[in-house]
Amino acid sequence: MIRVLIADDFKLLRDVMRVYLERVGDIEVVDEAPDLNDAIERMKALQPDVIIMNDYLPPIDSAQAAALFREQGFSAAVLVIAMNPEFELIQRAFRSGVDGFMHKDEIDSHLAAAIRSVYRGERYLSPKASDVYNGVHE
Amino acid sequence: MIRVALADDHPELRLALRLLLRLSDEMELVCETSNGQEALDCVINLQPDVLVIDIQMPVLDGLAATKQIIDVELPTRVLIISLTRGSFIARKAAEAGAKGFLAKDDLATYLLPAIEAVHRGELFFME
Repeated sequence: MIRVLIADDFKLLRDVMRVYLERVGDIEVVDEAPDLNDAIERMKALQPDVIIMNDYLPPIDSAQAAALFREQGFSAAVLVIAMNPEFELIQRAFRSGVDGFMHKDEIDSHLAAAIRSVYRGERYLSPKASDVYNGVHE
Repeated sequence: MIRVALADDHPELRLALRLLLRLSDEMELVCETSNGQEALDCVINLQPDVLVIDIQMPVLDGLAATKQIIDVELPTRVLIISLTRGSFIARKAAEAGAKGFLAKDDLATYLLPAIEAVHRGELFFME
């Protein structure tokens, strides 16, 4: 089982991700966190394999949060989900230790695959995030 | 297929609703709007089976839009969603003519059953 922590300040979206992940057999949601402090506490306590993180985790953005997780020595792979993926944010996120990046509109079709990919140690970019990163959509 | 329209002024909430609709093979999203007037236009033009509408919205709120849908005798059934819960606000929704009411905290679990119920002609009120 891949043990996952969901960190997003929007409860309904956490609920939606849980519903989708409960449909796959190899991923377990171990807990949820609405902000950075909660996420850090739960990472310490639960040592998840993967953290799914909103591109803004109050009070900082995902690149800053990922850098902080690396400083603290957390081994979890970091998958960022964004409403509006932007080139600069994706680039900064990868440089800060983020492992995967996807658009929230792809949660139904790509979330499980993205989790498995970053869990295996790969760098993951979803189709829509990839279009932004490659300049297909500005 | 149940033809569904969504109306909410928060883009991220609409995204969550879209993702929930995609869990069902029986539902088709026919339009998505961010205020009550656009929702009314959508209902008039496309006559979806069910309109899921936020009670609090700019231009024309969910209650006013629902009343207009009832007044002009459009066949679309309305499911009102609300950030706050309770019998007072659910009664307001019922008085406006909504066939269902859901608090946003309950959406992940009950949105699809609520849409199916109002589509069948039943009432679905969860205060």
